[in-house]
Amino acid sequence: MILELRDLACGYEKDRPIIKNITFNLEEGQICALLGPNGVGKTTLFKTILNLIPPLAGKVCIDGTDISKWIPKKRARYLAYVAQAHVPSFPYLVKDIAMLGRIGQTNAMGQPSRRDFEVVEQALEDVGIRHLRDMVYTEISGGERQLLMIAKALAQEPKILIMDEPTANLDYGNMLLVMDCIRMLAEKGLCVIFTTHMPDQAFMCHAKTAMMFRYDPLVFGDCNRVITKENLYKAYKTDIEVVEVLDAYGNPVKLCAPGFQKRREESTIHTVR
Amino acid sequence: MEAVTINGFHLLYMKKNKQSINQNRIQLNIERTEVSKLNEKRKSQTGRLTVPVILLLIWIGLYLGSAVFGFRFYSQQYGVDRSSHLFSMSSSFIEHSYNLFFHAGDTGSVEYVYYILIMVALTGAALAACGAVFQGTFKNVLAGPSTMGAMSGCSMGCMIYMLCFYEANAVAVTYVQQYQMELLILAGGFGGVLLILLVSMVVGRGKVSSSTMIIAGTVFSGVISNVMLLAQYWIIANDPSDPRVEDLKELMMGHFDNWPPLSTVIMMLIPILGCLIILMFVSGKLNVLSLGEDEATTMGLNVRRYRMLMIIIGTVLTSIVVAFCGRIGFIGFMVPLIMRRFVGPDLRKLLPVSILGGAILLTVIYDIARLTGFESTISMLTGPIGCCVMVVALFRKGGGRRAD
Amino acid sequence: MQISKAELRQSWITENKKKRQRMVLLLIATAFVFWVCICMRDTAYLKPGEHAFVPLESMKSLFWQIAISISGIFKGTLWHTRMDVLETLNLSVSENIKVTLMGFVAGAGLAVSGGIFQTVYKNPMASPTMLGATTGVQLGNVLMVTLYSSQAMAMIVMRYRLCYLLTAICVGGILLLGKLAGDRTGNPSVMQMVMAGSIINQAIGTATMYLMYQLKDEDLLTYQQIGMGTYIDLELISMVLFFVIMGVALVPMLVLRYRFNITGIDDAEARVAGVNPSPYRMVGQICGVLMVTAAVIHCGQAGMLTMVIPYIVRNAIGSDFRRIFAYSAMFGGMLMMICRTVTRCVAMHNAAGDIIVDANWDVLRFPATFIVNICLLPFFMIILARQGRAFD
Repeated sequence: MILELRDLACGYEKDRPIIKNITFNLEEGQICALLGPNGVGKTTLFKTILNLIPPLAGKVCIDGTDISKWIPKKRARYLAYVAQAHVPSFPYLVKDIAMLGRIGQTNAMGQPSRRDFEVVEQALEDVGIRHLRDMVYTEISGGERQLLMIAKALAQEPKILIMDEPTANLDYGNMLLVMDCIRMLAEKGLCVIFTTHMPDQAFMCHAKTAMMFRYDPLVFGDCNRVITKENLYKAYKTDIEVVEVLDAYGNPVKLCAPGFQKRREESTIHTVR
Repeated sequence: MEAVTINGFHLLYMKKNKQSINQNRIQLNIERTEVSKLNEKRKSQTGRLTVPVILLLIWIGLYLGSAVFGFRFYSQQYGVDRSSHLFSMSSSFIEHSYNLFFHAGDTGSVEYVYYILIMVALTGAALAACGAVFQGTFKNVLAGPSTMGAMSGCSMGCMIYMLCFYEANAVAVTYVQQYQMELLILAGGFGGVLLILLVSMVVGRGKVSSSTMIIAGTVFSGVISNVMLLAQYWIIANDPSDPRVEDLKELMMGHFDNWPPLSTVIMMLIPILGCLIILMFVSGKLNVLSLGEDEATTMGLNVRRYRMLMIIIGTVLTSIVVAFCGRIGFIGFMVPLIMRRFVGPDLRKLLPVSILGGAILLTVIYDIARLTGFESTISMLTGPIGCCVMVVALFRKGGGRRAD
Repeated sequence: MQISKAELRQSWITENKKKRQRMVLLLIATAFVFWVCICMRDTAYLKPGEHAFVPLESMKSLFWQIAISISGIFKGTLWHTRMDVLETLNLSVSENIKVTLMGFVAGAGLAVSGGIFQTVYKNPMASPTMLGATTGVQLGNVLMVTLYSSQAMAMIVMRYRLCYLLTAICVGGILLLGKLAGDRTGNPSVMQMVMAGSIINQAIGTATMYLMYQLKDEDLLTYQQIGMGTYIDLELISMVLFFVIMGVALVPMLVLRYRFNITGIDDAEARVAGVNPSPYRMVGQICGVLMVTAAVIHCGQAGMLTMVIPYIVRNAIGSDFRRIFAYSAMFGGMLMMICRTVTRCVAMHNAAGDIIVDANWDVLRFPATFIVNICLLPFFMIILARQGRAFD
């Protein structure tokens, strides 16, 4: 299964594309981290891939066929989406939220079948929160809630999982939990694409990286080759060193180390003697 | 001596003590722009009085015009002898004054037109002031005098009066007996506001937030209007032609059809004017309150005291209006809304302007009501006008979250 | 980490067993309340020494009614010789059944529509009352009585048409106002909706009040009766209209009760999962307004049931819309059955203790629905306070 973006241009209005000439491929089992400054169009790209907004130019293809021609139900069997911020509305149970992922596969008049039930149980188990299935989802921690959203997406039995800033509001420990989950899903054969504001996360997953710049074309490739000091400066306008250290188990890990320059004296205080 | 100047206030302080400055030969590193900014600010403050003065002149003109025109119109309507003018000395002066002061006029005495126009102006002013203050403090465009539950509490007081203390054709002997209904309504208004505050405190676990109060007020007014219907059902079921129904109607819809004695007008005048004057003095501090309670506290304002003051004054204004003139909706939030587009949200400018604007608007509406026969149900006129104004205001703004 | 087949089968069975047990319990409770309500007799016509709750006689009367109507088809001898039995029993259980059944369906409709609006707007404060569904009916009633005076109670179809038209205008107006007052994306916060709703409700309420005070004496009493639900309408046409509208509104919600959960989650997520939530939202809101209007036309002002019952069910049982639909329908139905039975059986007494009678020598009834409506509102506030939820 190959996901191809062919010369894609994305935007909300017909003649004003926000991003242009996006071309890269992804296969099963690959992780792709999408990096870039605020407002450069990452969410727009996702919305175009998911066909929530139509592409202004170019095509999104899976296995060679243009997915904008598919019916939503078929698309739901390939693509799943985990949104950025989830505002808990009502006290649903964890298992009910996860079951909502199957809603595209059930009949309009139908109830969840036994197969749906089994798929959801397996998804909860894969993500590691099956022991929470009878709890109210507003009462579990933020990290577990994010894992629940991933489980809900997995219940669709997709081939490609798209996540918009999955670790945005999580503490360090929860962030690592989610990253571990992503790695495990890729090992199982899922293709995972996620946006992040931390280039370290791309290194954590040994992911392919697509870096978007404000005035330069997209750069795609392996994380070791794309995340360099020059690209990071182009994206974030700061001097960031990429260093290699050993982690707690002796494996080499790459990290980003930003630098802070001393600021000039610009005091607006007048001292009177 | 070392002093740190950061803003213009210290600059002014320095400027006043020119002698000490010269004596110590202080070098101030002021840019020219700061001084010119100060000068501009002082200039714009003199423009503060022009709009209110214009409005005051408009109101005086309207008052005299309505009085004269009304005098002619009503005398035609009621077939009255035009010679009974305010300054005619047909009967002895003392007797005439006594009648004027204590007795409500019948349709024959037309000088009461002056009194009722004063009442109308006071009502409009009180409601508009209350609305301006509440809109600022609750930071919500759709807040008004009925938000705090004062109007609903007044309805509750009236209902208690109707069910328990009402005696048809009772002769009022003492002062208290004559104004029984009004006093109960006042008490009811305060009771209603107290109830809302209690409920908000319970819900918010000790902290009273403005959104809690708004919802509590809405809920309370819903309950009370239903209870009023129930009481009415009871009254009508007992006797379909009960005169209490008329009184209830006047209360619920706002009425200006009586000819009040001077004592009533003075009873309205003193509290309302007092409250309005207090509000004018305090309006600067209330500005800070509208920024938010936490911010106001950190700026050094005694939030609790000013909040309590605002609530008490708002309740007094609203309750007195409802006691004497019934519930008049929409004026309280319509007038500040319109005036805010012209003078901005600053309460020091907005308050006098909306007071006078309220007086003018209600006088105009009263004139229309007299001509069309709606004087016993004023809300029917303020309603459509209020709705149109509100829709237009919201439509133009396109984003009505700020009280701006 | 693959779960074993046996474990899966076990959890599937336990889930379903729990669900079934609770549902059966609830159905039994509802049936019991229904039976008690049918067996109540009108207290206004009681002779001294008689009770209101008469199960044995009611069942006897029911049996004979059914027997006589069946034999009436065949015009047998039973028809002529046993009519005296019915007369001596002096009970019309079929009427009781009609009133109680309509009460049940009305209550179910009210509670379910409250659940719908809470799910769609993701907030417990949103309800059809706040959005103007009941104000339109009030105005419709007033207009009917103004135009047709005492005939208003008989002109049922006209009343329905007028009420629905005005409700549509009210609700549309409030939604429009909310959109105008909202931020750039067109979504108003719930606070703005509440305020917009209260403004429109106040405006139309003023017009209603004005028209109400133009009515005189007997007409005013008629309006009050219709508005409070103390006039129990058992005409065939009115029952047919009521059940048809309730059916049209409840059946789609029954069928879509699982899919309806999709309206509670993020739009983008739902669409990617394969379902577009917008049509479900619209259908839900239309059905909700239909249900509430029909219920209020029959039973008087009962808007608070729409807020309180789904809230309690949500907190006690869960937010899945299937659960909310079933349980709030049952609870709402039960509450409404009790209210209608009280209204049917208890008469209004005046200050001296005599029963009040209107111009047609019909006994004036006790407005139970209305009083429950009033009592539920502070109850709701207390519940919210206990939960500690801030109104945001």
